[in-house]
Amino acid sequence: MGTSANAVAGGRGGAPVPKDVDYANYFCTYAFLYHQKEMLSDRVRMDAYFNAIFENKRHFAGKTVLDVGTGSGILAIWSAQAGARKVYAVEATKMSEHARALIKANNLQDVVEVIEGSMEEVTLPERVDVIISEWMGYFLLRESMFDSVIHARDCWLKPTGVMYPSHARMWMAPIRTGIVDHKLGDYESTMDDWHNFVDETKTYYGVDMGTLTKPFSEEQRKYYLQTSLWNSLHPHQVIGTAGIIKEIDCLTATVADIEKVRSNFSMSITVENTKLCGFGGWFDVHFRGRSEDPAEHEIELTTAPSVDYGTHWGQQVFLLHPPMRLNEGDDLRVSFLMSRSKENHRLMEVELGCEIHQHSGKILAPFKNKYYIE
Amino acid sequence: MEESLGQKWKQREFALASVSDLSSAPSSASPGIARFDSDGLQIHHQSHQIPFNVDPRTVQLFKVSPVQSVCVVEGSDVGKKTLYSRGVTIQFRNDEESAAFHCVVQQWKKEVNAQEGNVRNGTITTSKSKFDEKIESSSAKMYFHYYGQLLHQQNMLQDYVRTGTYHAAVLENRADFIGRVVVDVGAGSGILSLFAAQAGAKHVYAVEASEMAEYARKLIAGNPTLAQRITVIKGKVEDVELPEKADILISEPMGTLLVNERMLESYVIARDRFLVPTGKMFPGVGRIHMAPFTDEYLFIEIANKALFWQQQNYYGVDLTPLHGTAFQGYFSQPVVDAFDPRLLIAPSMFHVIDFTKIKEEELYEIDIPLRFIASVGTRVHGLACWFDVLFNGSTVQRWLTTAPGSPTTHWYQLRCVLSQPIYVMAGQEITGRLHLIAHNAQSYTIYLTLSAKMWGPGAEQGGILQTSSCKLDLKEPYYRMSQPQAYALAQDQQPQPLIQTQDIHIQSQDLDEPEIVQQPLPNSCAQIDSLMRNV
Repeated sequence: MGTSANAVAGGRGGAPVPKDVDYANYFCTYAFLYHQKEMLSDRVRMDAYFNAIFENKRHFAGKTVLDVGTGSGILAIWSAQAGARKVYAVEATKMSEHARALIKANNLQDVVEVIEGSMEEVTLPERVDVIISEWMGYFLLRESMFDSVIHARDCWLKPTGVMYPSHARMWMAPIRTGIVDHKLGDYESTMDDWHNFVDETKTYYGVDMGTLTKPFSEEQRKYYLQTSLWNSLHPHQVIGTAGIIKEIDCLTATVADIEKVRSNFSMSITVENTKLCGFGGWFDVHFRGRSEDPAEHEIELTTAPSVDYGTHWGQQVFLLHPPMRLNEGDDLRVSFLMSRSKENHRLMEVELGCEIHQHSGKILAPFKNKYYIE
Repeated sequence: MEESLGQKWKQREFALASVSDLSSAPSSASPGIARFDSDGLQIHHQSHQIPFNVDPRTVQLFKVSPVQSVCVVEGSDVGKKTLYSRGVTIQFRNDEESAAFHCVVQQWKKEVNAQEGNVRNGTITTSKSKFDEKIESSSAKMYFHYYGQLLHQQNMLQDYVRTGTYHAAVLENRADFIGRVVVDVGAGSGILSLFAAQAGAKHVYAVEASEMAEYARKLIAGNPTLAQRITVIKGKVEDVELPEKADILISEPMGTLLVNERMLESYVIARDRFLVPTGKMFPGVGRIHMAPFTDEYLFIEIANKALFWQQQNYYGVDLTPLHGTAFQGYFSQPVVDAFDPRLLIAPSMFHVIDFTKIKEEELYEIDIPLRFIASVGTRVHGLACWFDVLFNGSTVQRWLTTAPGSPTTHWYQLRCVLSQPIYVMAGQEITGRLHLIAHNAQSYTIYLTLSAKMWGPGAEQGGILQTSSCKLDLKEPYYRMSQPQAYALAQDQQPQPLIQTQDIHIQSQDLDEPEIVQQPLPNSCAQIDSLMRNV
């Protein structure tokens, strides 16, 4: 496998990763059955796609379907069971072999064709009526898999075709959480360990590691305080209204739309005498079809905080150090920018600026923080 | 082509009226000879013993007058970042010879580059290094990125068995280091170079390929009395040039099962490139130890992972066709943890790898016949493996061991679990084979076979009663050290999890409900591979 760098188009935000490194970093984890099991065990995810397909059979019966990133093949199988005439299941990893086995065991090998390769490389024998995919990463866009779906749409979807899912939104809300203190404690504990380590290395081995304290602190600060966290938030932890960061129409969105997500929005605090510990970010997707060919039953998959309907995506938590005391009626004016990591276009960097307008009319000094979604 | 070229170039020799280094005064010019032969182009002149070697890929030849030219070659000084040029001024006897020389050099460059087939759009790529030929570039990139982070260096430095043993081995054997030249292969943070300098080395060259080289420079500069005798060189030992040979090589090239990450090969290459014939290697010998084990708890734990795939009607889909593959997939992951040595059911055997003698190619494939006598009657679930290495100093010989029951290191031990256990009785012979084949993701495919011969009634028939085999990928272990153990370890042997705890249940100060906090699920193999050692 030789190295081949992706061509860098003008204006692209994140650095493309050489293809084989991208394959190794991103795709090879999806080649393992235990990763597929994790996703297949997410009932909210499974129910949403299952219902979207089987309650909208009209979109599938007698039609051609393209499943982008088929994994174990579950969406391709359901599409076939819903009456598709032909399903093309594209999978970049060796999981394609498992998908074939599963499809054959469910007697669908005449309908579903598994094609191994990346979406950007494969050629299909025909255009399709439906593109179905589960491309969402944490906070919707981590992993940048939607790029491949856009490519598939632009190359293979008929002009009258529909996208499953058809729409997506990114959300953010103010939250309170004990994690903020816990992470600060972890960071301080790590630095204490480091200082002890420096003392011990000096005492026992005669080597002064002190000059590395500053870069170590920067490394750990990023890890503990600036990297967003996966979390399954309880709805009671949300202390204000949620703001919509971005709305995406999967039929018309471009890569440029999602390379940099820039947004200004407001959130209001709805709890009296509370503590702003950070922000929770999540997404939802909708199966609505297209305006000329709507779904009979609209299905929504949301990853919002929930007691009973948590997903494997959870929410991303962006911690605020130090937390702030706020009251009901306080207004948060947020400027948000999410762009692709300079080192790896499948990871994200967030710049979040916030200005607080207290309900008393006073405006607090704005703050600006940088976060990493890794 | 090779022979023809040799024959052709032997005929070309140019007498030069004078040759002088660009960096020296014109008065040092002296007559010389430019000679083309099968080794390339060399320019000799009487005032220098060593001829000026010309690299056809980087040479630039400029005519400054009808009978005078400047010949420039690009190179890099050891330890310095910037490229520099080295050149000579050549005076020819007449303009005909000058023109002929230029013509021959151009032709020679063209033919040399054509042989390499690397000319594209006017650019010339350097030839691939030994390392790049063997190792897939994506694996190397992730590997060096991982070891370029301080967090992982700290983890290894705080393995006090590891760091303490190296420290003791070096300082106890300072007689080997005083006044000697040392090369630290895969220096990481530079800690071993600092130990070597503490022990009185005349000079230490710390070779490090990852971004950790910058931290090593910083660390060494922070220890100024030692820094004068240490030079950090960023690059692979397969590629770099050093100003002198080493009397001692020091390195920490061991991975899981000793050979994982394939850094022993770099250590051996460094020996062939840099070590003087009578030089020492720290460590000089490694041994892989093996013994059969029984562990019902572990076996069931692995087998149960595949239960999900036994569902016949999961959202209308029969998942069972993938159960077999999933089951074998879980068993293809070697298990890395610290286990109770009482689980071993036979005395161990070992396989010796002598770093001072082994050829690099011998590490591409390692084939070990196995033979044990069971001490107890039980089910054998697989083969347990660990390693030790010897620091064969002239004053003290010291072993660093990763054996079960010894203080736990960040390497732990490794177990190959068979999906089909075999039954043995006390006194019964267990035979088999452990076959390791290197692959380009810096690791090995493991093929293990264990057999138990018939014993007791019917033994005279000489047949094999039971055989079990498995294929495992050393690149993808199951790191089990943070799983609950079925047996209690002594407190001082409690294994410390290498991975940051990913499941923490925290009672929030503000809430009654517990929160589940997790780091993002790893989506990168960079977090999975090469987890446990220094380069």
